[in-house]
Amino acid sequence: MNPTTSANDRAHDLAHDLAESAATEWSGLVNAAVLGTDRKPVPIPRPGWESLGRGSDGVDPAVELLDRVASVVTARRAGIQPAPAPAPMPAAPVDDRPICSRGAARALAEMLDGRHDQLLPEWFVLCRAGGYQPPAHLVPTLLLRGRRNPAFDLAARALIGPRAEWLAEAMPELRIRSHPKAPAVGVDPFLPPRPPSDSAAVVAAIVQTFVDRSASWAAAAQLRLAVTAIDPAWLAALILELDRAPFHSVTERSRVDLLGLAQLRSRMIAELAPPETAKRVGLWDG
Amino acid sequence: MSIRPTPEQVLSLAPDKAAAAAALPLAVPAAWSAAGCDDGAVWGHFVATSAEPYQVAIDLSDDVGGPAYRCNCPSRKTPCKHALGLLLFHAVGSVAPARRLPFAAQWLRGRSAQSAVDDSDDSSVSSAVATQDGDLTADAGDTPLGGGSRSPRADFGTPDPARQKRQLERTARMKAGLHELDNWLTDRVRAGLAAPELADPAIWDRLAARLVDAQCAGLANRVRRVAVKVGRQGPWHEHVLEEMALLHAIAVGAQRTSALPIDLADGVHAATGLTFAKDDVLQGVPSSGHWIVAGQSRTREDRITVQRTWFTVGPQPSIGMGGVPGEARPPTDTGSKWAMVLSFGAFGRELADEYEVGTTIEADLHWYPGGIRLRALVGRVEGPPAPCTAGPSPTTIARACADAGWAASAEPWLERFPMCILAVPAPRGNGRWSLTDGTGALAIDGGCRRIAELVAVSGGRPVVVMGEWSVDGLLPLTLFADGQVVGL
Repeated sequence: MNPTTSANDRAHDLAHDLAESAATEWSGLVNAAVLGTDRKPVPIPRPGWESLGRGSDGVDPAVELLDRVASVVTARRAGIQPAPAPAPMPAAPVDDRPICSRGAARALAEMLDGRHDQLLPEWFVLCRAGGYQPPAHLVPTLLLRGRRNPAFDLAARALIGPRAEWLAEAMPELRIRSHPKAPAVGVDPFLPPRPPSDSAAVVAAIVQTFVDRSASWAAAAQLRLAVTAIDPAWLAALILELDRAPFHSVTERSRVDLLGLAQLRSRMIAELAPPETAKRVGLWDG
Repeated sequence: MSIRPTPEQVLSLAPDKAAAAAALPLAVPAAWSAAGCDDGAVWGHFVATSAEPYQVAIDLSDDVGGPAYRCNCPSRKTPCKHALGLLLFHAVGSVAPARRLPFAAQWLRGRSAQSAVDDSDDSSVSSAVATQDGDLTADAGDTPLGGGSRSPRADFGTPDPARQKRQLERTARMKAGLHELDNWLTDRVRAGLAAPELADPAIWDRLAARLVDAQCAGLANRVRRVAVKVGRQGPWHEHVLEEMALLHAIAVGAQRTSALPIDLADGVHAATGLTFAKDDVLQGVPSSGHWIVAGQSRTREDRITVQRTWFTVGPQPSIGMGGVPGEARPPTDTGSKWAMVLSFGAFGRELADEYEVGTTIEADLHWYPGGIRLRALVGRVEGPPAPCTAGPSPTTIARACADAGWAASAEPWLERFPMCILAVPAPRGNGRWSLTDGTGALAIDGGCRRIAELVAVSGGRPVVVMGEWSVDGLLPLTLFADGQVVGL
């Protein structure tokens, strides 16, 4: 054994003894405080703690007790030590895929928060196509959301990769399955809607609803679906049109909502473009 | 420069909770006509249900004695709900500068004439009075409006007897409050913590209210936090006793701060709720350099949201001391490494996201005085923030514990201390977790709701965690991993 180790051991033993002594002194004081100094005398200070207690006659025992407790608390807090380390858990399998961009992660976080979450299937598809992995800090939210939605769960786990199973086993308190449950027969897979055959006509129809003021809030759900489905090439044109659609109090709420949806979709498509084709995405905006 | 208080400062002026609650609905445009303000005052007509509107005016020009109020409503409370409501309305920035209304101008003229008469008195008597009681008047320049923006006091050398009378009154109130707190604590210890009345929230509320009256807001908030621990699971008697003993230490210390080392005295003052005027802090010697915005946390206190932003030294090691050398005490080990900037939000007013976690700013930081230097103000800022995804350089858990222990020895009542460690999460069983490295383990605060995110990001491998250490454990705030910055 080399000298440094034994010095460390001595220091460790000393710290251990001190901690034990503080714990004994502490428990005596706690007992007196719980019962009350009117009923239980303040214990005599243990060796090493005498100077902290006044111990003299004429001092209110309650004051003496509080003084001594304050001293022991200070000593204990000042002497905070790392605890012995519990057994480590196995590390997650290495995932070589690059993590998606911060912008894409923000878009996902927004949708998981409930804003425009009808775009989630498309986010999944784009993320897979780009060869990215989703940001690790959103993995628990994705898996928890999947507990009640097998189709979502299947799609999310395909995206998350091996970390899903690892997390389920590392944190049983989350009550996440290790393996996804097969969705019931006949349930639609978690996929974005197909683009309509004529997106230009759909854009024109959406714009028309703002001109004839039929884009009320009641109609917004239908319109949102259309915005989610159109060919991305037409998104820029739609955003432009929605931006300058005539103002009317009946349609304003729908307009703001659809504009937000279209902008989020366009941003998400740009952020999740595969690395080598990132430049080509810019053409859609033109 | 106009003196505009923040809403939480206005609330602290309320004589009681009822007045504060009654004032809230009055801070709306519909309640006021001809409201206006200038550099030193706010005024307006309160459009009550009665035939005559109340004429309300508040004099804000006295930054030592606090505001003065005038309202011709029949309420005997000072300030009344109308004055508070108007001040709140002003605090949210809804009162436009205007010319003084005749009634306000007349009242304010009368007040300044009065103080001019006071000023012409022989001031030697009053300065002798001021030094008699150095304990609490040392920084009584801080008023309930202490956090508001304010130009440096030019008349520092000419004490105003009326102000000093108010300072002495405040000192006396605080002393009485501290004395009462200590008596309350010893009474509880005499009766025992098992006594059923301890579990009655009302006795804690009453104590907190008394401390607010005594202008010991810091202690009142602390008492409310202790009250929450009563009857909780686990060894709550021990936790409550710890906090009661620390309250006792503050109460005893605050009654004899002149006998304490200056840093400790400053720390005790801050713990009681006396804060330092911003301008005085900003006049201190700054620490300039690159600072990483390492983490942010929020807590609710009464009706106020408190946000803590933690700064730590950035990648450039050249943190030079600016200003006049020799004037400042050498920065302490941790004091030069961490800084905490507080901001407050209330009444649905959003907290400004002034600093983005995971960025670096080049700035002057000015620490508040105290036994340990954490709370600070940002002074001059150079240029825009730059992204810093690498994060601060972490320490070992043993080193972080040593720093926290050192801080606790300087100020045992310290409630949270920053740490930045490179560590792996490990389960302790029952859904509780620790962070571990080669030097040992540190428990994660059981109140942390984002442990799953922490575990997922780590993937069972070391990750840089910035968090706040408290007696409940480490509360992780920010993770720096794989070039990503994750706020928890």
